[in-house]
Amino acid sequence: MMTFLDVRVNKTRVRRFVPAHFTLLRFLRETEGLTGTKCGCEIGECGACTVLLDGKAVNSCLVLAPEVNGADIWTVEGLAEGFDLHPIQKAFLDNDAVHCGYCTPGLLMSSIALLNDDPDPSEEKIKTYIAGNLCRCTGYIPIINAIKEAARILKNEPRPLLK
Amino acid sequence: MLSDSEVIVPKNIDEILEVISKKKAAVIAGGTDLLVRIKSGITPPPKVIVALDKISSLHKIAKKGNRVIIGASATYNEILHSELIRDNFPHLVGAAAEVGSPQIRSRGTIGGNIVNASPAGDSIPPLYTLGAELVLRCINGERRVRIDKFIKGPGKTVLRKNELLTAIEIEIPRGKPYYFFKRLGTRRALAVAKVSAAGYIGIDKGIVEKAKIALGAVGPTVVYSHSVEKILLGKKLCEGIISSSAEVSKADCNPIDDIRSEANYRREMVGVLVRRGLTKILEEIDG
Ligand SMILES: Cc1cc2nc3c(=O)[nH]c(=O)nc-3n(C[C@H](O)[C@H](O)[C@H](O)COP(=O)(O)OP(=O)(O)OC[C@H]3O[C@@H](n4cnc5c(N)ncnc54)[C@H](O)[C@@H]3O)c2cc1C
Ligand code: FES
Ligand code: FES
Repeated sequence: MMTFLDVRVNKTRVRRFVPAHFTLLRFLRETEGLTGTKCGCEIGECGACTVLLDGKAVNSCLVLAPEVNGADIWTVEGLAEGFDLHPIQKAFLDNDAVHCGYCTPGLLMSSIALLNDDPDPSEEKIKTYIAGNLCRCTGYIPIINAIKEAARILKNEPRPLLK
Repeated sequence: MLSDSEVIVPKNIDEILEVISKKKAAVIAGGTDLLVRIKSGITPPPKVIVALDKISSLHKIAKKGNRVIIGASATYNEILHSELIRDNFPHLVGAAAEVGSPQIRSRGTIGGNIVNASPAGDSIPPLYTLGAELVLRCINGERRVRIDKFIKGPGKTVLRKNELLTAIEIEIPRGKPYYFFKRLGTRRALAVAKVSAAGYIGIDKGIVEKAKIALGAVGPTVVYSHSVEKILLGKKLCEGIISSSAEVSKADCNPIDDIRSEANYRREMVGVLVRRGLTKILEEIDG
């Protein structure tokens, strides 16, 4: 069975027939070719597939495509403007918060969800917001530092919220 | 995995009731239990999946007289951000805050947690302490069942195939109620509870006049600790009473060994959580 989707992905309107049993993750990767969003566990445990769905961080592996009709979706591909990286991406690079990088797109999207809610988060709050993203090689300290730095940069050079 | 399933996204409750009365269908709220079960091969892929998420009335949290009505599709995040719930049932907020991860709290719903009927479901012990009433609707009408009569065992409830859980109704206790929710897991996030405990204590002129204690993950369903309730009623809460409560609570549960923990440890920890919960209430009373 196919279903018709009319959604916005990274600000671009997308109208497409997709298999109704696809998850949002498979729609992004297989229909849209947006392979930045990673597939890890496929059961909500690792956070590699995190995207923003109407402004909220969700595991795209646990959302069925027909449920997102009409929604606004942001993926890691929507962060940079051309070659100009988003401050959160720059901060991850500058703080060595990326080793193998498999967890990075998910962590970036959880960080964006955090900064949308709270532009000046405490360390405790940062930990709460990234608790659903497993990183098995960097370790969380550089990641937490990167998020703190991005919050500082964004205070001086704000960017539009991705909602 | 789901390639033969039909997915329906109805626009209103009547349409859902119509579909589930005619077809062998599974409803999906947040999908954080159902999709995991299907993907892991525990539940066979349903022929028809009916998605609830788009129906805004099922997300509503509102007050009607002295009752709070929580739509079955209210997500943990919606509960966390509801002033009505924060003001009236802080232990339910405490439980919602501990579920899974931010991503799970964005999608997972209170209705899904109840119908999934896991003894470790975090929203369930607070709802037991409140005697929450569940509204079950089918095309022929509705019935109401109290949560402790609704859940029959792990994954087992009295919900019929043609019924939808539409709302959870809770009477706001009179007087000044005190609440606690305590849980233990392997980690702070993404770890289902090994043991949990929730309490509601009503105090009148310094004396406990209402007490409901519910224990999670220590039996096939959440259970009330009636022995603790008996000790507390008619007394003034103090350290001595708390110690005896913690001791007797251990006999009120029937835990098992499983991958998450062992029966002995769970039983001991019931005592610890009851002690911590009641101590927190005592501190609040002493202000
Ligand atoms: C990584 C991960 C971590 C988790 N951590 C926790 C945790 O810490 N604590 C915890 O309690 N749970 C946890 N869970 C389990 C799950 O997230 C919760 O039980 C959640 O509340 C389920 O809600 P849902 O809306 O996603 O349910 P769904 O998966 O949509 O549905 C669950 C069941 O309920 C039925 N159902 C749903 N809504 C209705 C309705 N309105 N009427 C009739 N039937 C209905 C469905 O048919 C299905 O059988 C976790 C899950 C994952 C994947
Ligand atoms: S792939 Fe979705 S949480 Fe792991
Ligand atoms: S950088 Fe490898 S898992 Fe995080």
